[in-house]
Amino acid sequence: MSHRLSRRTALKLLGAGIAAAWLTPHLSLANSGALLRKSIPDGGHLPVIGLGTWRTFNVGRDPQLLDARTEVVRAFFEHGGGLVDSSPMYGSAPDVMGYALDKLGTPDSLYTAEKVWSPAGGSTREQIADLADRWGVDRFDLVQVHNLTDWREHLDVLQQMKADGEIAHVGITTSHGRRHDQIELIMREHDIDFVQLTYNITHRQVEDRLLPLAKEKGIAVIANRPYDGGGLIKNLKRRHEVPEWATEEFDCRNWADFLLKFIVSHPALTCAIPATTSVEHVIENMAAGHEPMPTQATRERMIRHIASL
Amino acid sequence: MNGWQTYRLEDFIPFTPDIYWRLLERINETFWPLHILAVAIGLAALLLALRGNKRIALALLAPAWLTSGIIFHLTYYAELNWAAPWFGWAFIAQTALLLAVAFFAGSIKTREPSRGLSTWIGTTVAMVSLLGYPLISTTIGPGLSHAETYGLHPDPTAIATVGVLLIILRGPTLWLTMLIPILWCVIGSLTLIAMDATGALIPLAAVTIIAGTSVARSIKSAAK
Ligand SMILES: NC(=O)c1ccc[n+]([C@@H]2O[C@H](COP(=O)([O-])OP(=O)(O)OC[C@H]3O[C@@H](n4cnc5c(N)ncnc54)[C@H](OP(=O)(O)O)[C@@H]3O)[C@@H](O)[C@H]2O)c1
Repeated sequence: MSHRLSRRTALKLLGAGIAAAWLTPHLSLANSGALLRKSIPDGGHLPVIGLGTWRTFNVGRDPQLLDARTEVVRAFFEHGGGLVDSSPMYGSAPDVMGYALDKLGTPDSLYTAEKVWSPAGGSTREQIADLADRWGVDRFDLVQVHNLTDWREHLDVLQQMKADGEIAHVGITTSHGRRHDQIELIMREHDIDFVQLTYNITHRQVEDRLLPLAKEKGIAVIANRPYDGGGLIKNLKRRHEVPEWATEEFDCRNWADFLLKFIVSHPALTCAIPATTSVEHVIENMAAGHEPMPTQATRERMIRHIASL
Repeated sequence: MNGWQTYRLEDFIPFTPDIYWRLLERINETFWPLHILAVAIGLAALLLALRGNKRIALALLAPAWLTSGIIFHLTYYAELNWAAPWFGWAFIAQTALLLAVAFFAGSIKTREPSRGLSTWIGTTVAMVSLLGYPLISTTIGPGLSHAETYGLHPDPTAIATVGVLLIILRGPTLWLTMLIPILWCVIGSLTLIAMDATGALIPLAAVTIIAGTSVARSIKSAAK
């Protein structure tokens, strides 16, 4: 993790946090427990809620939207956020992160997760150097092979970079349930620290083989598309109330709590990375990372409930 | 699951609708009142086409493709979409094609403007695109500040162009010059569909009407 938060910036962030909480009391959802953190390979812990940047952070050079996304990042860190996930495939998202970090400073909690992708151009090392330049960071905490493109070539270089201390962790990604056999093979046969895959209450195929395998091998798991791209939570919010039993059983206050707590309470899961354009939503998402979490029996009830809607 | 069935249209659109509407708005903020000049040139092209002055009409269609290619695609859209430079170069190629057809207009198959159905359809589509599109596009996006205009934004540029081309060209030259506008309208509609925008089908509907009219006209003239 990067260590570039100056005292002045820290005070500024703290001051802004107090001001934001004062000005927007309805946004600062009172949390009953602490923000849950889970361990990652080689020591260290990550807050269970991270931030995705696909689509939402590709704002180009639009000054208005650059500032709006900076506010999302500010709220994310103020509420204890850590992992931010991006990719050379996400257009200007890495530049937008660079803009936000330049404005806000780089807090200690930041855990930078980038990717290498084959049509992105340049070798593995060139891509990473270019992305680090765009983020304005010295190095990335995690570099993942995006959707397994040219994974053998990329993985070899990433392992070498990890051994040389140029990156902290190595990972692979997939989404939408694609290429699980290949993912499983890599998890079994290669030394990786992280796997990123789609896991949410309506897409649970990974529960059968990949999540148990990750647990067995000590591989950290990032859940992408926690809201199934957004449609899941937006439909639930529009049409349904959170069931009362969920509030009683694990202090569930809204659909973000329901959906994200379901994901991160899986014992093999490390972190879910919802993407958002909205400060209100990022605060809601971060609040979902706080204890209490649903028990296994409650998780099963949650699945039945969603299936019944 | 490895196959293409897992991909949806949204997977190919790397930005959210609000980012796209802001892009349109930024272009309007920066280039106003170039819109008036662009529409005036488009109207002149339509008028000259109706009066049978094909060569100048074709030449007057070309600048709109250059400006929307450079401004929209190469300058702004390229910030969001890696495919935008390709679209930009296609628009510049269309500029060159229109100028080339204008240059050789004497020796290729053109069409004397008639009062027939296809002239009416071409005129209506072009007029609606030139004058009505800024208003129509407010139903697609969130408001007038996001309105799309001929010569700056690609959808009205492509739609007005095919309208005018239908009036003055026929045969392979018509299809050749309509190829890029039609392809763009398909891409434009798909982009709007992926963003769940109302009126997403307008570009596709416009080129379908023009292409359908052209096919019907060819069948009719072959039957004579
Ligand atoms: N192969 C890969 O490596 C891969 C593939 C897919 C995704 N990912 C990563 O995973 C991240 C997450 O996936 P995703 O972005 O596809 O989908 P997602 O996080 O499931 O959904 C994002 C959508 O959810 C909405 N949202 C977020 N919080 C909300 C809340 N509290 N209430 C209501 N709506 C809310 C956002 O809209 P608002 O802006 O209105 O909040 C946004 O449109 C990506 O950004 C990316 O970093 C990686």
